[in-house]
Amino acid sequence: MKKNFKYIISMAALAGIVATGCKKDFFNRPPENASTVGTYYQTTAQVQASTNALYAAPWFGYNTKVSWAISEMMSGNGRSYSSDVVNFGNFSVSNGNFELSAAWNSLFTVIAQSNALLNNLPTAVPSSVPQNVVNNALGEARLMRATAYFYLVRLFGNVPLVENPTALASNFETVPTNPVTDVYKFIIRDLQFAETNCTANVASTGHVSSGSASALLAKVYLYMQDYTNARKQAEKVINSGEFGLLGVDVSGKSYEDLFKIANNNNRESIISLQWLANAGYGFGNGMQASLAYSSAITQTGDGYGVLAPTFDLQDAYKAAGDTIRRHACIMLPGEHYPELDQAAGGYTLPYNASSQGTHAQIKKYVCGSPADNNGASAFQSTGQNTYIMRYADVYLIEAEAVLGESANPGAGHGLDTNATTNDATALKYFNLVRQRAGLASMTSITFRDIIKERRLEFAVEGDYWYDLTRLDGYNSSTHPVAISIISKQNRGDSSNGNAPYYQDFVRYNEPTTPPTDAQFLFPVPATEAAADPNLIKAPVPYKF
Amino acid sequence: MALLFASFFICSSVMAQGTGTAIKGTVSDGKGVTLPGVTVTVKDSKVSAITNVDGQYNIVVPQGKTMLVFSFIGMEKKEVVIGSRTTINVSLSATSTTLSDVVVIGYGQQKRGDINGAISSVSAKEIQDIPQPSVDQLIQGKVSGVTITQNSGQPGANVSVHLRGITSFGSSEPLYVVDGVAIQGGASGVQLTRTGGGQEETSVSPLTSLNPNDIESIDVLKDASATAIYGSRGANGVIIITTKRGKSGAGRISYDGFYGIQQQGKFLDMMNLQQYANLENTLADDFGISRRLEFANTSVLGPGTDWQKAIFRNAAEQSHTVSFSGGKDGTDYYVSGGYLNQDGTILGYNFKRYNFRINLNAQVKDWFKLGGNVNGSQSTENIGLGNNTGIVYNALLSAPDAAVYNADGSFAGPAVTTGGLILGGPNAVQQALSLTNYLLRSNVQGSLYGNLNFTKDLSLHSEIDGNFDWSQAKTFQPTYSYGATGLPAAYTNQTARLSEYNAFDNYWSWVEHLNYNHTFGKHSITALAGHEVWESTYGGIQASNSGFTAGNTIQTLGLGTQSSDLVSEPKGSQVMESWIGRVIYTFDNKYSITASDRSDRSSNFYYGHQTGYFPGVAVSWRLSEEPFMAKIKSIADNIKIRVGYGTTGNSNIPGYTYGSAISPVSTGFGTGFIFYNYNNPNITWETAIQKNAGIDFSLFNGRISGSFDVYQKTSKDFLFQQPLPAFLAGGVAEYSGAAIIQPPYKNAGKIENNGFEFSINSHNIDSKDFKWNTTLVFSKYNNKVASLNGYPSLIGSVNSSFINLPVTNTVVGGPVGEFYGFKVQGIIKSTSQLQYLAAHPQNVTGTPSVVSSDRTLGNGVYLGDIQYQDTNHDGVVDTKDEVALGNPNPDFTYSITNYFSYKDFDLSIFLNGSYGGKILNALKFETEGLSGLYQNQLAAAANFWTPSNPNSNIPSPRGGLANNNLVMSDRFLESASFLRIQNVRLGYNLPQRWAKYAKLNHLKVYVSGQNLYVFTKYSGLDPEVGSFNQNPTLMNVDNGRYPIPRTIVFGVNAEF
Repeated sequence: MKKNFKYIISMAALAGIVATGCKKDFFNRPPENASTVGTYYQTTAQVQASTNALYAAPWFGYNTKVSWAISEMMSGNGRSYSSDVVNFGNFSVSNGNFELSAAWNSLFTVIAQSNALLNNLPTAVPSSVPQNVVNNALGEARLMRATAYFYLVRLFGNVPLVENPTALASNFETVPTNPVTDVYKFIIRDLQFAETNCTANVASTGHVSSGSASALLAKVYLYMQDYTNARKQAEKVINSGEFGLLGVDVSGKSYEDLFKIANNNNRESIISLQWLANAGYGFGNGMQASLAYSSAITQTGDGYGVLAPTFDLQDAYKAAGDTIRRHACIMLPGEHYPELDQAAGGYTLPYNASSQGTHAQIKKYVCGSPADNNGASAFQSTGQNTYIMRYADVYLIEAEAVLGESANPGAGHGLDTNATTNDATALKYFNLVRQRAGLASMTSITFRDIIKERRLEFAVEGDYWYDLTRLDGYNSSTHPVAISIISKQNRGDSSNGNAPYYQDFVRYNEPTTPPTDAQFLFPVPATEAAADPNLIKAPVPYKF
Repeated sequence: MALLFASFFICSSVMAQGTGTAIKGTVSDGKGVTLPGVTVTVKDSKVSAITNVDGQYNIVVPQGKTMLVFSFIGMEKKEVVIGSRTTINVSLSATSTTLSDVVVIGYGQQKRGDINGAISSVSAKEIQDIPQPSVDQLIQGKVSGVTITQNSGQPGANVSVHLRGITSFGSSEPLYVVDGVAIQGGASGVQLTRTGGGQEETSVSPLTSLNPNDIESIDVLKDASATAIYGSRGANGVIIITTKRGKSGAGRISYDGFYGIQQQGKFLDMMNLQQYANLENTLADDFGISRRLEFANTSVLGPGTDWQKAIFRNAAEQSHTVSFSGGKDGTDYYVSGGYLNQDGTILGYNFKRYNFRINLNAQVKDWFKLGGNVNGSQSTENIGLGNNTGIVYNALLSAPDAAVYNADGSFAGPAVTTGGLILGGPNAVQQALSLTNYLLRSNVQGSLYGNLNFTKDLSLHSEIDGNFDWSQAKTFQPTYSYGATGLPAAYTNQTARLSEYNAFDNYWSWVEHLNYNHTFGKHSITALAGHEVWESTYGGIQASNSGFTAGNTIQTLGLGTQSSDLVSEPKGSQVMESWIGRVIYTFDNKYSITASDRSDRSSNFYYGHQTGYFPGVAVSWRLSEEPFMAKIKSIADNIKIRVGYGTTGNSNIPGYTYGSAISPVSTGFGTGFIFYNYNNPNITWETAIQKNAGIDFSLFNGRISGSFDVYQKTSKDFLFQQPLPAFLAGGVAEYSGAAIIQPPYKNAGKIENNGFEFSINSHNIDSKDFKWNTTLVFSKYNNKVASLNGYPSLIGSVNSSFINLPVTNTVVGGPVGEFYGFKVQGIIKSTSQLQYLAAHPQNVTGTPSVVSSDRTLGNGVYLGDIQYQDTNHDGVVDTKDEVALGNPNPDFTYSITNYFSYKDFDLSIFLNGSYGGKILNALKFETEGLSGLYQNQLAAAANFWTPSNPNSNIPSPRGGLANNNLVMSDRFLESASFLRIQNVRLGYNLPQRWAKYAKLNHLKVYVSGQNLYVFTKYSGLDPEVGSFNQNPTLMNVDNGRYPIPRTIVFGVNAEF
């Protein structure tokens, strides 16, 4: 019996092994905290939500610091001593620069996520989802891809065009760059697709609409000096009536209201990034952390005052008599902002505030503490949308396109500084923008007037550097006009000042060493060139 | 022999009488070979004799003495009661460190003498009294072929353990098997949360839950013929840890404890305030900025704050373990409880552990044995601020003009100009002390087994194992505001933040194996057939909140502002099923063969790719047993030759890489979905093939013993995550990689490790009172990438402190993680060099340099800058001139242990060294960069090149990071060679006659010093750098890691 008992136990054990040994399901372990390509994109709601992520996390690295380090510091709008960004102010960005990598990596992350959606959605989606819903999602993805490439081509020039990353992955070390002209062609193709397939009149939801694509097309054509198409697209947008200027087309609001979280996705917003303040690092708008003068404004420990307006920008506002936009863009010592630190009755910039030696601080994209924003603000993270494009841009594009059509410099030729227009359409839209800023209407305008206006309208919104790069013409390798403008800028700092209100400071007008022509484009990040040496060789035409 | 031994006791009932009795006899070994030179002493007297060439002795025993003691090298000491006999023949058995010792080989045991594979063992005795909290740290330098690097001196930090080189681009950490429970050495799901800084170690050691005092032995399975039985889990080697069990006889109570002090042994020579002020003035002039007024007259300045002294401290460490053990009537038990408390030598760090263990075995019936063990532990790790580019980095760069504390005791900060410009970084001491960052881990692991004997030869072993981990990681950033007295606060935070991560990791396995043992004539056969299945499930809740209006004291999620809470839930699981078979056949104790095979089926691969087969075979020949060796038997008493071949596998990748996941992310629209990874449906097993040949020898009656092994280890189809460039998959930007598409896992290429290793143990002096033993352990491997399946290279990048540079490049033919960059030609000192550069521009920053004396010009070069070598002689310096700069792998590692004992004292001196290999002193990008204001620099950096200081090799200051002078070059590489006085112990054993008054069986007191001194040329804090988060392409990159402290402890071992 004793022996039998032993065998019974052991046979039972062995039978158990055989019984458990074969079940196939036991080895099926899909992720438990994520969907898969096979299980997602199954309903209309899922397809609609599939593009949400393209408006936030992928852009984080670009939005946080490097976007303004490039557009403001290189253009002479802002200055900083801070060692992380100082190289942008003096045109000494090397290929090992951490922030330069942030720009490249973040923008290509946008492209990678757009491509993933474009490549997976069509095959994964069932026929029960209406085709227009699918097409709209694809259109959004292509608009985002185009937007990222539009930044990349202006920053790096020739870049690799990627549509099918998995096909390139196996020999990534030989992927070439494609020439600037092909990149623009690629951008236009994407935007035309988006224009055709995106739903109209939905930009107020935060998702881009067909009109958003038209508007960006207008801007791209303008950069290409294709004034006819730029004008056509701008007028298409204007005539659609989807968008309106706050304080002009939308009454009861003002220029200042554009930069309040409560007014996210207002009627002026054409393309904007959609941040969530309380989702932790990487999902909110990180700009306030650097731009706010002190943590008394943010109340979250950040607020480093890393960037401050140059005297050059301050003088530009002063010369134009522009106080409305100046107040919304730049804080001056002693100035009061009731929307900041509301608990204390508003915030007043201290008289001695001069974090970068220019006795002024940045206001735009500084939206205040969690209490000021109903909780929509946190450490290095606010819920303030970032404008990629807003409607005022379309008005100024329209004006410039009209001028361009008449002046006709020709693609690749510098903007003619003597050309002027008094075309009624051009003047109408140009003056609408000035009107909101409380400035007198003009009766004739030059390219220089428009560029100046754009600078004051869009300062700290990531535009002025790109305007400078196109002054000498589309895809130009020389930049004499831009260099001459930069060399006259006062980018210097000043003494502290001692008298009451510290306003007796002395400016140090340090001569600006302007960039060389080659420095109008950045080098490819060293880590990328090491992975793919072809990135720093001559470009190869793209096979469309 | 045992019978013979016992008979002496039985016969010894009558006491010796009269004045001195002459006793004679012969001493032999277990096989009847007579032993010359054996020391025979009369116990408790000074009388002794030595056996002659025939093993015979004569001795006169004084009256009243009753015992003889026989001792001989390599043999167990034996005490014999004389009784009434005048002739006493004795046979001595070999000591337990040699052939008869039992070695755990995976699903079984084998006598050391019968082992066919390359297996090294460490006994409890070799690691006792070393004040290290974790087992992996203890075996450093003890086993040949094992390279152990402490990645950090932080209490509780993980360790890199590499058996025979680097075999994989994933984790190369071995499998640990603790009393049958498998613990993967790679970083688990348990992680520390990030506290800030760029690159932080977040992985933790899985072995810290184990109390080293509970360990009986450690067996390291090195070659694949030995590890093949573990199949896919043994690819990086297997370390089997066996804990103590009760021994038959009276119960024992033991206490092991120590108390000691740790301190930082080395400080870097940073600038004092005067030097710093001079530098700030020079930099201001260079960058075209006005000088600071307070630095107008530097000669009146004092030394300023020494920030290293401010963050380092002398820290206490203590450990106490009490154990109870015994055995009776087939049942044995071992119960222990332990406590360890180790403060960090850096402010804010602490490690505390409580644990208990119960081991129990019982022979329930003559055919049935049952046993089990449970280990429970709880540990708490406190972290001040992350280590890489964290606390040490911040302290080194902190300006000496900022104080640590104000006069009123509050935290001070750097000066702030009236304009609001902050002239320095955050207060490192404030960061370390005010931040709450801890990890609480609770772990229960245990196993339960039953053995059924069907016949004398056949048995079934059933076992259930479990390892359950719960962890709670918490980071709380309080509200604060601090600055120098009388100035505006430099750093302020009004909104506190809390994040918590409560995670679990549950592992269970079930093993069944049939065992067959049969010996007939000269044949001996051992066979095993088994089945194993395991499942690992992990998950957790991550939550954070901010805005704690109730203050900093009560740190709990519910007290935060409800609109700011955030949750997520990582989880997943993995399973594997295996079939195991092994046969060991031995003929005549001379020839032996082991053959094994294992199949593994893993859920990490897609159907059709899930199963892998891993065979192994090894043969051995005990040469010394051959008749023709008989003549030299007295010289070479044991010589065994072993040859083995085996394959192992690796499936150590995350789950579901064969499919594409879509994971949720937060957006302003609410939840959005990102494409998480590129998939590879064909992903399958990595295979490691290992060939090994070895010899074990014992000479001069065991006076010298050792083993020597050569091996070739090849991993093919190794698993790695293809490092796609950012333009295809996105890349980390501003420290956020939330939306990157994870590149696919691939089976790619081939890595070879060739090497040899030996250990030699010598009994130099073995007299009655004085003994001296020496053990030498030597390991060498060459690591080479044989194929990358067409990929040109793998890049390892440093991505921190505003520099993003490729620093290592792994190419076919080179080692893994080889440093790569430009070679420095020298400092530009003459106008002729400038003329040359004007005609041959160098392009190391992406833009060709322009000769210009304007130091604010980004791509300018001028006198005092670095000229790089044109290695390919094409007249320009560009990326084509980047070359391999050095290998982080050492040429060889070695350790020497000398053990002395004199009467009741013993002394051991353990030296551990590494020769060859390079370290990238990445900290110098900052500490010697001379590139920015308000940051302190190494004192040596003040000696930068100027026309009046023409012999310096430090380039002149140049504004902005990652400039021409700060690209990856051999300038930042240093020798990683070192020799460390790893441990010195002096112990005193209280003589038995005194100990017994206190009812003690045994009492030892000791003083033990760990890491007493390091001989090295390395200029950083510590030449032992390890690999960052166990990433093999970032080995020996020093980003300001936590250095290993010097420790001196006083300890006691007592047994009642």
